[in-house]
Amino acid sequence: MVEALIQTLTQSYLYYLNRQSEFWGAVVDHLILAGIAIGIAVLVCVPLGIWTARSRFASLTLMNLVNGLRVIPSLAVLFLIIPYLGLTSTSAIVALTILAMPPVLINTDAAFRTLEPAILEAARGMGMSAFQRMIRVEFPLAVPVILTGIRISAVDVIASATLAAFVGSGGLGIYITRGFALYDYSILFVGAIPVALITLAVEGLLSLLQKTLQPLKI
Amino acid sequence: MSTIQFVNVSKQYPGASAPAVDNITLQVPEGSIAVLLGPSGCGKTTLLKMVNRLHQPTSGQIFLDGVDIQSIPVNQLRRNIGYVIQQVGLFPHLTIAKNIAVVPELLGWDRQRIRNRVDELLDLVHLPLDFRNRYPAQLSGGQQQRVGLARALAADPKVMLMDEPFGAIDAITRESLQDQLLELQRRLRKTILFVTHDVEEALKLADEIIVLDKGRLVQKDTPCNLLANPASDFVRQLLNTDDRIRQLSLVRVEMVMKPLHPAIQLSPLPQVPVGTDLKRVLSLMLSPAADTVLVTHEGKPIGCITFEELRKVGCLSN
Repeated sequence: MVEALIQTLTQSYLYYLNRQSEFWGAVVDHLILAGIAIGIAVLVCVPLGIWTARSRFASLTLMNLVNGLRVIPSLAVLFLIIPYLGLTSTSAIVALTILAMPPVLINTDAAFRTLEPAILEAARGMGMSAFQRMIRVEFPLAVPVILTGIRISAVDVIASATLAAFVGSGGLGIYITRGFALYDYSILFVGAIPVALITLAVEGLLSLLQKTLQPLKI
Repeated sequence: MSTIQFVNVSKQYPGASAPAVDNITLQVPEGSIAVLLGPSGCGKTTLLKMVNRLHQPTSGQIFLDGVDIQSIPVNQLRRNIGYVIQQVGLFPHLTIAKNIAVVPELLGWDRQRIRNRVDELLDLVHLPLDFRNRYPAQLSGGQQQRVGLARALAADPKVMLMDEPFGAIDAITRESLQDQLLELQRRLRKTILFVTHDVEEALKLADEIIVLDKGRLVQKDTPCNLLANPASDFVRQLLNTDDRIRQLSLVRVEMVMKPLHPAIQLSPLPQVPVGTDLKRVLSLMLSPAADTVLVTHEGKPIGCITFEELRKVGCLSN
């Protein structure tokens, strides 16, 4: 059993050695796809989360919409989009963005909703304008919680970006689909293992960032 | 002139059956501490928060130095009023120095001036200078409120609003913070509007106490006069004016002591420094062989008090 595994892994390594430029190209594609999806999710959902934290209407409509989208599996989303956007990276990015949005929105909403009222009152009472309160107080205090949302998104998206290979958009998923098609585990591992490692590394980096930004608590 | 003046101020919250603040007219003289006292829901906090426009009066006007506060841009008004609240509300992501520097930064002071001012203020509220770089969570509740006080004083406002600032602090620390506020006030002479529901605190700090009930002004007078002549049963009950021990706690030894008689044997007598209240003197007298208590100033006896003086105290004679 162990021997077989070691043999498969050795074959994976040889496969990688023979196709280094293809492999690194796939890694870059993978990171770009995931990065774009997370980037769009952050740009859209952080402002939306600030809005939902302040408006009952926005909270009711948007949160329910996003929670509804969350239950549709990404693979299903991808196949639902293909008729409209074709077998393109756009399809992959849309599916991944939908996956990335809920944690960012939910955490941003929670971050702004749970700001301590006394702190906000002090800021108002000292004569900060609404803009100054946002920049100097509210946003810095919300950032650690928002980052948690981004971290959850990032892990989901990096793992799921393997789906892009189904629509021919590259990424490390190409080795998984290829390995699946040829029924060759050693090829599948060339995709799966790096995806796992990248996910762990990104998770670690974001945790570290979050810790350095966390207001000191004892 | 830095007075706070309320003219026919009322506040009616939408949907409430009675106004929170009902037609209040009063004036807080420059350099004095006025304490708004009353049970919860009496409108004292609402009244206070109308001064920095966190609440808007339904009718009536408020003047600072004779200027209608509605005519001053709201953030400019607030930057010129020190504001201290019960929950302190320090910014947890900023260091103590940055917290204190908030208003000076909003006012655009240069960096060196802010640095000097922060050091000066830490000193003023008796906090060590190495607290500059700490974060609020590293400080005790009492220390945090000292920072809160320093932050409110940062731009040297003439007017301070204090909303139950010591309400959430343990009794011993509260007392030392009250003493310190009085000490600061002797030096700085701010015009202070102070909200509390703690009668002891009001009696101790106030130049004038403003008693509120159900949004109305019930009585406004000095602590001594209030105890001596409560205007209604409500005030009598609120202040518990029959409590003579409490009245003693309002009078300090130097106000009633008599000169030393050369025949008095000094050595075995208990001593108290100038500034001690008569309640403390009474408790010393209750111990054996102490019918006279010496009053000292910088370690030297300057007068004495016997039971006679306690009985004659002004408040009691009424």
